[in-house]
Amino acid sequence: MLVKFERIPMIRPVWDSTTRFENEIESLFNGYVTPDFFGLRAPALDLVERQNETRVIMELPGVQKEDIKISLVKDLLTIKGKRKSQGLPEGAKWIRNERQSGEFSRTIQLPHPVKTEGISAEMTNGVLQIVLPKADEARPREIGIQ
Amino acid sequence: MNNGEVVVRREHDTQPSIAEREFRVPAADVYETSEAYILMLDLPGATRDAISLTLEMGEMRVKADVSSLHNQEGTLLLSEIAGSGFFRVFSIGDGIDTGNVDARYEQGVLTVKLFKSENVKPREIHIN
Repeated sequence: MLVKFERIPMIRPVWDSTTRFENEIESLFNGYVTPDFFGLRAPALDLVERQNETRVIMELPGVQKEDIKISLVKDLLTIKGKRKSQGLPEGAKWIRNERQSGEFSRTIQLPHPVKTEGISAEMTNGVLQIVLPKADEARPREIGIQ
Repeated sequence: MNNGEVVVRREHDTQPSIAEREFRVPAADVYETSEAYILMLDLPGATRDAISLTLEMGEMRVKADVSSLHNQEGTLLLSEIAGSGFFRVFSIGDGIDTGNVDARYEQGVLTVKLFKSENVKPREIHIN
């Protein structure tokens, strides 16, 4: 859902459009650009490789873990799900509505084969972390010299 | 409710410092009910202790440190999660009871309830 936000004097951000340039840009888009405009459909992620595993870290604030689906086909990892809209309590009215709800999906190619039975995932404070252990053939091995 | 009142921007003392520029602006929802303003901010990766919420001089400042998320051992192959945290300032009007604020952090979302002062709440007057 994309809702145009109104500037109201009671509560409003002070510096998210601090510079004149940013104000100009914002006025071009007539207020439709919000700080997290591209945020939800393709959530940001980090990929960290360690010796024996790779970790995927993805920001999913306000997403229930039941609403996330993780799948792995060959070396393609897909994380998809949805953030439910919370809606407004009766009689309330929006002043700003920047947090997006709806579906998201990301697919990334992993840098190595994965030991599928060892994959684990957890959601903490709105951050999803997936641990993908490397398949034996992808683990570094020290070769002794005869 | 606001009577067209305009809060004067004081940009000279609300500009973030260079260090604060490394912080991202979190997306926010704000809605108004008859008794309060409710703010919801996406602050993924923080903890209750890593969030500071201050109300001062007509401003509410929200700052969250998520640097621990980035300080993971290993090689970063893809890095899209920017900055070391979140920072945002909201102007608060006079009609808020600053002594009565409720804040909770769940699933990466901070919810702040700013109750209205008694004198700005809608009141029904009975006619005798």
